[in-house]
Amino acid sequence: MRSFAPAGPPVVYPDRSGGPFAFAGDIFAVADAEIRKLRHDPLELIMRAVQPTLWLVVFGQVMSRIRGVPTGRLSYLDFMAPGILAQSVMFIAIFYGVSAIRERDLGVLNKYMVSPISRTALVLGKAISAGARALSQAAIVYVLALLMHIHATLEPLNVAGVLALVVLGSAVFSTLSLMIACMVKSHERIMGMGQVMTMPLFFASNAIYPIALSAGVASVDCVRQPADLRSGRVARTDGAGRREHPWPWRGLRRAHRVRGPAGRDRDPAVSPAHRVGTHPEHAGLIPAGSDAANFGKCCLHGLIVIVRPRPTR
Amino acid sequence: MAPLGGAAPFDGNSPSSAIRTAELTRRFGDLVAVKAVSIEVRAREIFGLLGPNGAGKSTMIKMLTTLLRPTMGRAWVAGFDVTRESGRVRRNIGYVPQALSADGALSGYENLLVSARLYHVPPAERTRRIEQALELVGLAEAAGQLVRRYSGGMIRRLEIAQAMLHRPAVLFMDEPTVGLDPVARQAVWDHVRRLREVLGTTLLITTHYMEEAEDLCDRVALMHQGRIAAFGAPLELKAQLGDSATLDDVFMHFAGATIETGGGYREVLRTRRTARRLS
Repeated sequence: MRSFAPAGPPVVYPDRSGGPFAFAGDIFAVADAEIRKLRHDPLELIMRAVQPTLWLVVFGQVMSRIRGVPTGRLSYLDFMAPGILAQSVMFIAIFYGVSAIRERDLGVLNKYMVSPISRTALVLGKAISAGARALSQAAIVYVLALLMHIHATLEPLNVAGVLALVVLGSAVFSTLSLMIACMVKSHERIMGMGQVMTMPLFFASNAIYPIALSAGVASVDCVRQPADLRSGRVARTDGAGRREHPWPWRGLRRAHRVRGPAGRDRDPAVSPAHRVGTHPEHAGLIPAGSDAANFGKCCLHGLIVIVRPRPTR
Repeated sequence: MAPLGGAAPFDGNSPSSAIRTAELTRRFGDLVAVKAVSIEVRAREIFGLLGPNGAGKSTMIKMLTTLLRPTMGRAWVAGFDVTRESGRVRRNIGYVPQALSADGALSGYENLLVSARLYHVPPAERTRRIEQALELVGLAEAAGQLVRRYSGGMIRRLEIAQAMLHRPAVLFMDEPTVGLDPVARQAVWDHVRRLREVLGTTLLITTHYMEEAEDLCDRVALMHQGRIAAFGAPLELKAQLGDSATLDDVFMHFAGATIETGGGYREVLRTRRTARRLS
């Protein structure tokens, strides 16, 4: 091989390392760039206010009029507002990776990659800027809540605690999103992954109904599924002559029937531990058998619902 | 143009080399993108890395800017090993990638501010250096505007400004004039020349416009299929072939192929995208 270079390393140039606060400065530099973008484009803030507004004004009002969800002494809107706060903050954070993929496609990310800042500072800076975004979202929900006369606790310590949790939560979810972005590398896939994560988390949480209700439904369903499959009751008809499917939403309907006062002991596959919510006055007050296990089941359950094709009738 | 403060970090007259590679090799699976390349770029030189799409130019630049690890061989940039001292290399280089590196959602000034912070330009000096850089590339009046509203040529000039804010010893530019109209292209070359005069920066530039390389570069390396096909000053290379020869002819002679061949779908897509955003 022809060589166009003399042998050995060349003359060494002077080193230019950062000072002791360089790391903190790097994080700040990355975060500040993101926050400035937000300042230039306040339209984004307004658009992101649409979803929580719809949830609170439309869904919340309707549900509180129906009184379909037992929320104890709280009004339904009071019960739901913190859930919507958490939900809207989490949704933004979980789709944070989308912007990272866009930056990577454009090449803007290269600017950071060839700069002397460490990869850790880059990720932490992005996480903090996601936290700042979430704060703006939290402010929107607080304003909405005040306008709708929702009873928010406005003690400074309380609010500070909420905001701290909001920042921490969105930093965690946004870094998770960044990790996924690193793996999937395309817009379409990260949007899909975001949907797969957000909806199950949302419906398995107690954002819009007490967790005991959802845990009961989901666990009944999850317990019943394998039994159904094992005993081969895949497509038999039930008492009313309708075809019975092992699909989750059929299970949900059965679960509701089972929990009705007349049918409470009809199905032996439902263990007593899963009969939370049998009496309306207990609903939401009795903790479900094990919330952690139920939470896992619910996530899984949501995945199943999303992944499975809808059966044709 | 008043000289910018802060002397270049090395003696421009010494024969030290700014970049040196030894048998530098990069594989992507079965494909060998760069095959045992050994070159040397002298300090204060404007060096051109020429070749068709897919010749290995961008892979070379990515290895030298520490974005990609070499499969084999070694390389030193500004005196530091690109794999073992990548942090130090990054502190001493600037990089103007072919893809966008200015952020459209920020103003020109803010883009420079972010760069100044990333490269630890002392806070006391930041404003002064940003103003100087803006003046050097002729963007002082547009500094407050969002980069989204800049023209292609203005974005390129801003990218050059942000890559030189920290006065790098070596500046890498990947296809800096793709997609620019002739006037904007000429302006970019003028800025490149001025950078070297004012700051004593060493420049490594990739391009596939041969006539530009002839005008601008002190020395060039012609790459073909991952190897260096020819190396030397443009005039010397042409003289080997005769009076009326061009660098295109030189490339034909040494590589046995025209400059138009080569390049995969991704390469073409990338070039087109760059051309679109800059026009």
